[in-house]
Amino acid sequence: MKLINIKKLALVATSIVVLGTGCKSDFDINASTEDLTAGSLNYRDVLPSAIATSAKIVASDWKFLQNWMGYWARSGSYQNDQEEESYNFTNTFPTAGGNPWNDLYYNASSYNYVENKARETGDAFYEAICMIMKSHNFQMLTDVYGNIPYAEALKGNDVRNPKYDKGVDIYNDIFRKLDAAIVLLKSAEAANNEKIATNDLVFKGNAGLWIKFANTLKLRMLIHAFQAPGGDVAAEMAIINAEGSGFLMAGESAKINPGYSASKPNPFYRTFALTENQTLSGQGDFVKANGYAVGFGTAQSPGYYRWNGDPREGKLYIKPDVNPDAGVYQAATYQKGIPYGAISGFATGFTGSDLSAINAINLTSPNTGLTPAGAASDAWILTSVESLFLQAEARERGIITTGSSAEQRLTDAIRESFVFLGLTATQADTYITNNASYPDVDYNGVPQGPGLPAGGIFTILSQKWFALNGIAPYEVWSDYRRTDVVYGEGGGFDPGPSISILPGAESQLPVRLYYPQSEYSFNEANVQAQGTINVFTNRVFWDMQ
Amino acid sequence: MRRFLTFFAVLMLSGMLASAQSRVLSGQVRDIPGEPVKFATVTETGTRNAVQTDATGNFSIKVSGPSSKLTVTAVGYDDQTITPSGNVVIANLVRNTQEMTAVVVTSLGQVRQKSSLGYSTASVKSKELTQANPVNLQNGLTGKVSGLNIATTNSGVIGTTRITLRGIRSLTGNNQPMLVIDGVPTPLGFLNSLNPNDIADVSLLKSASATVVYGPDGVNGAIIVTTKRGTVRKPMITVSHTTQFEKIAYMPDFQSRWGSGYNQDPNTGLGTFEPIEQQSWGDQFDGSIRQMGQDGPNGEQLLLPYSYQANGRKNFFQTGMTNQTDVSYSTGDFYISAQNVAIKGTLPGDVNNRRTVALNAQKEYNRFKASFNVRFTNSKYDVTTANAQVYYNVTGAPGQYDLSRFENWRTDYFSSPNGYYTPYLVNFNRTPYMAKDINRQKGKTNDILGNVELSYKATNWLNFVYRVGGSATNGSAKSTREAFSPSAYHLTLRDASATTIAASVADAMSSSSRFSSEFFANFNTKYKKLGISATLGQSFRETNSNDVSASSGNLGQSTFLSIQNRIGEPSVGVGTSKSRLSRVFGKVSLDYEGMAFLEGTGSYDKDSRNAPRNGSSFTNSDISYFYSGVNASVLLHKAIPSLSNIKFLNFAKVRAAISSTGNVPLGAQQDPFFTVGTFFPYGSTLGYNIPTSTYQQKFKPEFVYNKEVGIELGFMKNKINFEATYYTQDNTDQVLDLSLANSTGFTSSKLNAAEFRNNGLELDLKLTPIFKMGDLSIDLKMNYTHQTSKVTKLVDGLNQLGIGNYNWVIVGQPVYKFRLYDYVRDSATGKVIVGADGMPTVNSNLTTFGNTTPTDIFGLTLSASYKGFTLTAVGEYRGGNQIVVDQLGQFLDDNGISARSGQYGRRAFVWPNSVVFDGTKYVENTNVYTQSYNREFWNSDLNTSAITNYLCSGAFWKLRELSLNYEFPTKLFKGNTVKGITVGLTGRNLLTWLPKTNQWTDPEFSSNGNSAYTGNAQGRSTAYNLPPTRIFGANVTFQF
Repeated sequence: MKLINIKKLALVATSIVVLGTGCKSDFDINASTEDLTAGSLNYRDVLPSAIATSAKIVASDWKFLQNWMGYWARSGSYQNDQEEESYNFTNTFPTAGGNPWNDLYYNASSYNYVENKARETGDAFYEAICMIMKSHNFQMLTDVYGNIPYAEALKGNDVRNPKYDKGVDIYNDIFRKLDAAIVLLKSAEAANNEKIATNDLVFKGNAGLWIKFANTLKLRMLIHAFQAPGGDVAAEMAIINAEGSGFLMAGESAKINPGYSASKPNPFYRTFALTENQTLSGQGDFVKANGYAVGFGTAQSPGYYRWNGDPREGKLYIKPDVNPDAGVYQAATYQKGIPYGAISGFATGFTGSDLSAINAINLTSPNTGLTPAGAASDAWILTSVESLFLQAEARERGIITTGSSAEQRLTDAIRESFVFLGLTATQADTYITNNASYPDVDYNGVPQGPGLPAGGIFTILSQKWFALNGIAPYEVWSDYRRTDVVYGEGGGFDPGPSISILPGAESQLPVRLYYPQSEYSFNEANVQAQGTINVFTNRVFWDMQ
Repeated sequence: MRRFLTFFAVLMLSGMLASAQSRVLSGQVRDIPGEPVKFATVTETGTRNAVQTDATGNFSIKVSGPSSKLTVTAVGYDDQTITPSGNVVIANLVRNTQEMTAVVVTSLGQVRQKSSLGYSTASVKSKELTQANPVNLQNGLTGKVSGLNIATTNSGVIGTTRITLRGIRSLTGNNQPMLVIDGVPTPLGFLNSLNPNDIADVSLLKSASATVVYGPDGVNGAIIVTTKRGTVRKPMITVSHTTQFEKIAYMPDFQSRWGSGYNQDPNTGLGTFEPIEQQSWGDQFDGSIRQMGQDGPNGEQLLLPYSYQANGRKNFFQTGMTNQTDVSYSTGDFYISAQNVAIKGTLPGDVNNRRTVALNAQKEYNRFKASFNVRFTNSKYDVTTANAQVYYNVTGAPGQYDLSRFENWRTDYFSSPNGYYTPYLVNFNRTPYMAKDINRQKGKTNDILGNVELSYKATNWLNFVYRVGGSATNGSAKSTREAFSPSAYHLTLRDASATTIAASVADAMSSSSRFSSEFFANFNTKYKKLGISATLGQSFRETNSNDVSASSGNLGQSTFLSIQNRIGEPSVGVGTSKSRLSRVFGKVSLDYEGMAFLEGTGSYDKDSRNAPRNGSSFTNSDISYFYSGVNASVLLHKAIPSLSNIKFLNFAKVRAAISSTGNVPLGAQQDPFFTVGTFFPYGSTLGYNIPTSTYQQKFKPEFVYNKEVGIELGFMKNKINFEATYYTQDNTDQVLDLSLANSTGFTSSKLNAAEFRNNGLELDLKLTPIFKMGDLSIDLKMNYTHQTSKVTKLVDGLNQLGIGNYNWVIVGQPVYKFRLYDYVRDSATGKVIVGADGMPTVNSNLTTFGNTTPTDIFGLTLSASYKGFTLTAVGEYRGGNQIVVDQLGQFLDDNGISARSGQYGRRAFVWPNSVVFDGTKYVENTNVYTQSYNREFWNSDLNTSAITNYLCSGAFWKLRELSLNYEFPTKLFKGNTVKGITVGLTGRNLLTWLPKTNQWTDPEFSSNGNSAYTGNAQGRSTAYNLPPTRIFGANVTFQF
């Protein structure tokens, strides 16, 4: 009896255990069936979104600089932005539009993902593009924050607390990364890189233009850092010359248009004009013209553009409606800006439709300047305008030693700026002629008073300020930091400082931003090793002022 | 439970003379509801002369003499001795309520003697659950069992609750217990669709030691529900109806002195009246008639007295009403029931209706037994989606308004947003009445649950059970927003920037299902004095869920709210999830002479959620893990003969259990995923964004190591029962979403990142009765829970980690603690430091404060019965925690509504408990008045950004239930169709006592929705929580 029990028991036990162990494939069901994961996605299709995001960061993350650089200002109908205007910064600044640190690292992480996948699959063209774009992000991060996580960055779980590298070391490494990218591009067969003509939103698989982009990026860095110790400008320039492709020239802007339309608007237009729902964007609603650039709406109060009779003013700013409340839209005679940076708003006469809106939207004259096709306009990443100004300065400073003269290169740059905004080279030439001898326009200009600058480098930097309005305020901020040029000044007209913290107080702009809160919360030891940050005194490595 | 010690015999015939000779007694044995008890044993007391009752409970016995007594015994009932006074005897047996010897339903649906278990259990009977007519089981359980914490995290027609047994075991994963209905594991959400009147019994298995065979599903304990089945007795029909009313119990503490205004008079510092102001910084109420708002287009004026309307805000809400009707039919082998619940909320317009039908059937045929159980629930609701706007605009209204004046916003000019007294309402000028009306969600949910159980008794020592169950839920919801355009007059006169409200629509459909099966064999044998039983089994479960949503905020026809009417691309979403878990388990139980018990359990699990996240290959051993548990108990009163000499002690048991259980806190198909880039695709150009979160390559399951010891004592024939348990739980390898610095390229990573331990003490004391005199009997039951925890380790050498809602995990501290912005304090005295201007400064660093969940819970049930009357009261205390009411508190302060903002009469004040620097040291501040006051202070960051201003004790006492029932005597219904009638009055949450520091709301309320598991981050309520309510009503039950 007992024996039988045990046999039966064993039989039952075995059958239960057999029943209980289903085959492994029944349990291999953990792969996502709806959400795309690394296993179900062609990695190459990440690139277009990464590039579009780069264009978005360029267009929309820098409103505070557009304000600080004297281009834009807050409408008097809105409450002031305490941090931006009173300089009482916290490490969450800036938040409006996007935080450059968070956006640039996340975007770099996207390029990093594609780059690594491309290296595994041998897609050299994808790999090279991502190396260049990632370098572009790190160059911007270094310029804004100084020392940053670089070598140990973007490693996710492998390095949860990345160490900070010195800005100069990052610059030097970026040069080498760009060299490597150029080598890859020269050997890459674009045709063998699946979908590159579609997915490369910038140059559609044109290796030559990408090499020029890389060289232009190098030139931007050389111009920033030419005075800084730790680099070898001549050697870097020799590498560029030896490579031989040169820089982005007229009409060769790195810009994209994947198919922007009213329902999928260009990022600049979306952020500062109309959203995809055809409603005024939250940001655009309070962005108005800065009085520093355009004056205050009367013949007696011009800004820099009108002082020089610059037709770009009309492309960058619209004239306000003088009596919008009555429903009568009647354009004013002059653009009208608002002083920026006062603690309390300028209630009377500086609100809403009384002021010039920036170039994007207006009921009577839409689609001007930077967004000539409105929501469908191209979005830029690095413009030919900037490239030509960089070349002019490089020639002037002897970094570029051959080819056209600095003056010629400056003229080319001004012409390109006019063309970029929908004007003509002829109008540019007229503008230069009309302002002959004024050093803010004329390369050969003479000082307009004792202690005021002559032409030359001053003209190049002033014109760069006029030209990069709305396009690359971070580049203008870099110029502000590394030189002592006060734009416009010297042209015989001085509307005063672009920003005033307190009425009557002289402006002193921050020379960097605070590291963000996320670093202090989650990478504390490494960010603390950078010491206490003072945004007015802790300059980035190339800022020799 | 009531314990009737009374009995009565009914003489059917008089005039029968007592005979000195033997006689024949006949009669019937019944239970208290009057149902016959079959197979009861009727013995002539003191003899071996006995008979059994037949299937209808009738018996006939020949006894030896006129003074013979009868002893009636039956399984499940108390013994009873009757002195016959005639030849016909009716015995009314009382169900056995001796806690210590009661049976409980344990895992796998196995019924066990409570005395043989080595772990802690509790059981709640049907009557206790439903005595106050709760709408759901959770409310019926609240306050009745130690170790159980049920928090009602919101009021409203769809009440949300969060249940924990013995605190939490996972920092970020699920901490709610599993639900087992009639042996079948069922998603916890089905609690809301169960009809409490269908429930016969609820067992609570408090720890993983009791649920080892359920593995990760049972790691947080289990709620084992046994539904009513047909019993062998005459068919019985029960019909009952309950009507309950729900009223707002209380609102936050308001100031009642000042009305609308914004500016301070520069000379006096006092507020000035502003007719269109929404904030309450005006002058003092004086009763004068003033114009509120502005003139209408035809010069109309809204003239109202400028005086405080005490119920002006509360009048926005209505008296809610719940009607609950039940019908059930029970007979030999089946039970069928239907229930209709109609809830009308306190927020006007919100309704929720639920209909449930259930059928239980069973059949025995020789060695084979089958049972079948199916229930279906249909819910329909219509609620506003603008709770926050509604509550803000109601509580924010200045005190001179009675909001009910503004109900007809569609027709009355001054009630419409165009003519409302203020244009400054939040969110596109919505008045509260408008906000609730234009933002609606209508939805339907269908829940179906079915299971089949087959058992076969192969031999005396072997039987097999196969159980298969399935549940499915499908829901659909449509959320809509009506369009609104401000009038031209409004735009010109009032607010040029008023925005039109665009119509929007969102449709969502979801379905989920769960299939589970278990097959096991039970062996029972006896070897000399040792009883041996073993279970070996296998189980399988598969869960599936699927949801689809489509929405658009851009509709072509603004009055036709359909997604098909959209302009441009709609937003769409699809989500699916599927997981499988298979398990082989075994259990061996030893029973030494019904005196000492030992049980060992082991389980080997294979869980698809353990599969690698990246789709790489794996083997069975990668996804499987083993765990086990042992528990033992000894009945001391049997084991130690000398104990039985202690007269008042009749039961003593000690027990201990130790177990480990694996838990998989990972969701299925939860790889970090790529999203479609903004506006992509552009034509054929695709674009995807990489995930912002990353994850560890391979996860270890979280393990919960449970250890518990307990003692159970019965005194004075179990009239006093006492039970105590102490436990510890070590919770390892906690999976967390660790926030990363953006420079890593990601914002968070999922990892095994923490360890913590929790421990607690549970005490239950039952005095049944505590007092008895004649027909009056009073029972008292008390339960007490103390629980605490400690974080022992965090990854990466981290010391603390925030999980949201100010909840932090800090090494060496209980989980969770609040970390908040406080004022800068003097480290020596802890007092607030004020400057020469009398003003404090907000500390830019966070300070750690109290626990976010209660550490002490005390429940008390008092019931008194007198003849047919039963009065029951259930009270509960919770404390040891703090709560943060920052959103509501800040809003009330910003707007000058709160009592806080008026506490110093809107004048300068000396900061309470503050110190000031006297040039060398900090001294008590007695005379430095605050430089700013009135709106300038209360509506400033200096007040509102110190979150500690909104921190208070989370303690409360609540009168959870109060009910008075009367059961008409059975004899009234003799021969009638109606067999019994019960009527009752019930109330829930009638009274709440809060500490003075809590000026805002119910401490149980919590923000939810930031976690899949209704939020581990507790203790912070939001503006979405409606005001607390109290419920009272009446019910009547008929039995046929």
